Amino acid sequence: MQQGFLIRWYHIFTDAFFFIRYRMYRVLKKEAALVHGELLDFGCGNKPYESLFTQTSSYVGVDIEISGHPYTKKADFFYDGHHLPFTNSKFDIVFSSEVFEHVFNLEEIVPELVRVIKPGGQLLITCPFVWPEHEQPYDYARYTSFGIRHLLEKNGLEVIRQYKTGHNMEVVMQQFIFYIYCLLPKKPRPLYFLLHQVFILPFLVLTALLSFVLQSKLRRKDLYHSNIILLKKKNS
Amino acid sequence: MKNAVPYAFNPDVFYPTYLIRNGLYKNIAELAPQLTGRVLDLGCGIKPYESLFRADQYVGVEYQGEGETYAKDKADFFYDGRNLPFEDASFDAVFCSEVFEHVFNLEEILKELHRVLKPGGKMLLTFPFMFPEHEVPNDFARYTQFAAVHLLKQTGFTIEEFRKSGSFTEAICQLRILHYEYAVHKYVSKIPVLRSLLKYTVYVTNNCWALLTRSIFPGKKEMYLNNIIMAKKVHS
Repeated sequence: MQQGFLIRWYHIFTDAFFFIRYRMYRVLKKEAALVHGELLDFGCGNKPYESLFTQTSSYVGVDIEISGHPYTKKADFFYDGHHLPFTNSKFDIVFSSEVFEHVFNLEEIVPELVRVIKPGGQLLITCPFVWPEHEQPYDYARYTSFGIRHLLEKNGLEVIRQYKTGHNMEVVMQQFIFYIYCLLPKKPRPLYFLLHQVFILPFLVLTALLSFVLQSKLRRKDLYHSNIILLKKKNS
Repeated sequence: MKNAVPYAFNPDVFYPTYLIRNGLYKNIAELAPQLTGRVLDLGCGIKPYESLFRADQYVGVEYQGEGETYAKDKADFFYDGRNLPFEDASFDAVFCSEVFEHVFNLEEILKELHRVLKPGGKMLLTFPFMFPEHEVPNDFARYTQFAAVHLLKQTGFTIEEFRKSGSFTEAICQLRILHYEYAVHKYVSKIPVLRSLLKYTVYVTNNCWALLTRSIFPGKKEMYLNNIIMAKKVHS
């Protein structure tokens, strides 16, 4: 298990991005357990969510060689940014987490992803809505729930389920915590761990409490952490 | 006789989106004088910034979709979201503020703007990087500076100047006010004294705190409010 993405409650003591990751983990855990067959992880990085897909028969990762993030890549294939090295209708599901915001030629890539999915197969996408610029200069956009839906639907996919993770208040707090995190030294690790308990943890706990206490009426989703969307490729 | 910029577009700290609008106003006021001759304002609304331009003719265009128009809009022309009703190279300059995030076919619209602009003509753009979903469902994305540069270059523009308004701390303060506006305000809006008290306390403290901390805390720019770009059509 890789720490950092498979979030448990106790990661509140170590992870400044607790809410964005925890909310995503909860939804992905539920959705991933329902997935069967051959899976392609597009932009797989170090395949942080692989263990959640318990029912898949194979898990193939593809990534691009040059990008902005520091993770060790576990990709089974590298691709050129334009064409995927797979035959048509090869996969039952394509999964892509926090990748679309970095893709400059989404108009070209989405049809390419659809090509390798079997008719009736699925596509599971996550991308952030409120998140600072990162992995510059490979950072393109934050799509709204309507934007991401439009982009995918026009390529012959229909939406099965769509989620927005988090809510207004949680986003405001998470971004505030992000800013504090930016100001803290990250190394050596024990020092950060100590500072985290003093400067980050109180705000994380406060957010968790407020989030728990707030009535569902107050939880508006004009601001949210991430889009998660599950779609199905039409049969013809 | 030209009217001054309306209060809502050049507000004080008692206004909820003061930080966004003030950042836009300052930058537009500085850059607008570069746009002269016949100026096109795409998505003009009430043409709030008209008085900042030294234009011979200021032409406003607004999108007309499904019969929906705003009574206050000062549009001289309406367009269908695809084709601008103007001849090639008929404008000396283009201004387009807070519109791109709503456009679902941006590449197409940029080509249209390029077409109606004279070679060597300037284009002043502003669009948000961080703002809640609004005017839904006509809300598409928040673009980064890298996306804008990529799209503009690909369409045949060069970048003359690039600015970001707001920093991480300002973005957080603005988020807090927006959260209050969207999620909390309606629950206290029926209680006379508390309503005003809470409203102005939230606005003024956050706006003033942002102004104060701007000079004290490190001005991180990963999170910010708006992109402001001056582009120029390449001589062909």
